[in-house]
Amino acid sequence: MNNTASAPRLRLDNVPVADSHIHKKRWTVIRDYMYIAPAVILVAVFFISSILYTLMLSFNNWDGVNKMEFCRIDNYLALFGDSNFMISVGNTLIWVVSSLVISVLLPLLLAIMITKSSFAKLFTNFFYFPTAISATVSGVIMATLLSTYGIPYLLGQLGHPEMVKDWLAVPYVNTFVMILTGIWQGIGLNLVLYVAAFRNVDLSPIEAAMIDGVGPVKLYTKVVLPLIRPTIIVILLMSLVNSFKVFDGIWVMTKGGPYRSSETLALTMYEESFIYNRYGRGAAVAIVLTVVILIVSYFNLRNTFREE
Amino acid sequence: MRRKLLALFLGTALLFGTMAGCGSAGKDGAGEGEVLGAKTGAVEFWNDKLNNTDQEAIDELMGSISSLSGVDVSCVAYPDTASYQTALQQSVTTADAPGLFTWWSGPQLMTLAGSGNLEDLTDIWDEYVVPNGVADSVKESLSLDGKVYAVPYSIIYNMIIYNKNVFADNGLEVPTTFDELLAVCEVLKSKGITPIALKNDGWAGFIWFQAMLAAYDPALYQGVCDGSIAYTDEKVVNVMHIWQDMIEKGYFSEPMQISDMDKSLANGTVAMMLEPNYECKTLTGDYGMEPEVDMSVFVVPPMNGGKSIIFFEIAPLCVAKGSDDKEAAKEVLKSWYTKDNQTVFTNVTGFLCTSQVVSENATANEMVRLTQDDSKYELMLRYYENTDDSIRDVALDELMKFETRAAGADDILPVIQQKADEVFGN
Repeated sequence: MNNTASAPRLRLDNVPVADSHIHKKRWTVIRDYMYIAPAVILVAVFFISSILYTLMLSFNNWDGVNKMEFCRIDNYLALFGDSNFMISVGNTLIWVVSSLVISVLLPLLLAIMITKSSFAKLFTNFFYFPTAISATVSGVIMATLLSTYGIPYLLGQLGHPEMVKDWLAVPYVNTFVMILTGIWQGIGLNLVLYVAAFRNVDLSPIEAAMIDGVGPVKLYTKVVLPLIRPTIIVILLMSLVNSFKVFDGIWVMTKGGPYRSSETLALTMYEESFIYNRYGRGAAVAIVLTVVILIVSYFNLRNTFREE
Repeated sequence: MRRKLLALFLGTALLFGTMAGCGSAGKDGAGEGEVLGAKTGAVEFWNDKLNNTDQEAIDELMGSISSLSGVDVSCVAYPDTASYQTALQQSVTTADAPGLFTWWSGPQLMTLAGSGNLEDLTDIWDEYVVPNGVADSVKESLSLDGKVYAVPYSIIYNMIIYNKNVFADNGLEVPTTFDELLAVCEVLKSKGITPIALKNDGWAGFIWFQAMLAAYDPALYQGVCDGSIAYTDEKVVNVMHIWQDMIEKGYFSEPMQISDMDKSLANGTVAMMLEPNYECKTLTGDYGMEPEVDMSVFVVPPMNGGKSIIFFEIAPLCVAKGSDDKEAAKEVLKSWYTKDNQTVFTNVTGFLCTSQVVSENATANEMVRLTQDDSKYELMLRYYENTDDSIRDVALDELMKFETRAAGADDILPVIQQKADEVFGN
């Protein structure tokens, strides 16, 4: 093997052994490409082609029935002049910021407490349970609880008649209610990831810090959290991307209403395309949303890989 | 090595073969179906209306129309309206389009008809629809350039459904003038009962808007819909201020979900709601309101005399012009409105389309009876289908702002008019 491997590579034509080696290597490369070919073809057919089609659609006006009309960048210009789109952008930012702050920090605090508790498994299961429910089902549960004859009715019976109203019909209150629902429903996964990270962390730096007499707050901020940084970045990225594309819970609870006041970009994309039959406008929203998510993901991933 | 390569080639070939096989199987299947459809008279009926109906009831309905028409009709019910619209829009131009499908009247129907994708059903209308008791007055809403492009799958009438017990307990009579309606609201309000329930749904903002405009002047309503009268017209502003005054006096509830509206009407915390006839079936079946004992109906009375306006909506039933099954579909329509089929249809759906059939629900029948009294009432297509859809979309959002008191009449009307100016080129 060693002889073959050390054969002069620059004079392949004169060396039959090397020729055979090159031949083998070429086939190895082809074989490798063939292994990944099915996945590449599937992604190209069903994913990349969809992106290209959406991009093309965003430069056209189309109602789904009649012929497409090329309109240059009119759909993008119309979007940025549309107050509903700007409300949607604002709501998406509220979702993103809330998710980043609450969905990342709250499970972290809970995970710290749980790992110190005697009933770690019980608490982990307790917080993880809502994750087993789909966003649609949790949306239906919350919509029922917050309708006129749910919690508002109980409050009315307790002497607060002004509270008897469908809370999901109150603009901006409904957005925060839906964010809390999303957090309740999604907190378990982040919690489990944190707990797993804490359990797998290298204990020697922590023990050394404790021997040096470092206090609990400093121990976590200066030693433990830097050790689980890769997990924090993954959770941050997941929460960020999920909050950008949040759809199902909102659709079930308010359908983006009242008067489109609780729409996010994902909902605006759907409504423009399939409710108002403005496929070009919907495609433009999709492209804007995709570009934003790609930029955010790129910076996060780049930093993550650079660290590693 | 060669064996590995051979295995890889075979594996890849198998994968592509399977994919191609799936594709061709679908195509061949469709082709076979097309031939079968043409020869044996089979037709698919696509809709998003029967998705909540029991399979047993759907089978009964399909069995009825199949045996009467001699064409094998199969139901394809989509659970989601948006996915249904997308699926249909993508297939309606092809030979694979369903023979029969439901759609929406107004601009959506006109778009399909105008694009040349719908079969002309004028002959069927004259020979098989009107003679079987469907009101000829709804023909115009299904026509383009004098040709009928759809028949009614359902005709729905909107009226005020009221709790008879609440009215009786408070010594109230059915109002015959708008002032009497205001007086009824005032009495109910003073007794701690919410007079009228408002619906919380993205599309529902127009329900009381159209009722108020038409109660003031039916011509005003029509003018606003066709663009000949501006939303900022003095009369429209006047009507909106009357409505705003009613909201501020507490005559309307906060917008609520339809299930809460039904519950509130049934338990008497709300006295009235402006809803379609199919809601009577829910009120009886789910909330135990006995028709004409616990509930009945009346039409919003006019402000300035004249006829009261009953708003109707139609779900059109269409035949795709390019479909291989269009002849079979037309054959089905010849039997669709027969008394036997409509009896089954009404029992299954609760909709009444022809005068030959009565509903099991006496209040629903009362609604139909009122529509036939043309000395007192006039039918008009509801706002949702009666105006340009891009204006409508803006108006629905603005009117919901108005109903939730997020904006006043003077705030929302110029916004709607701005869109109307764009559309009508003022």
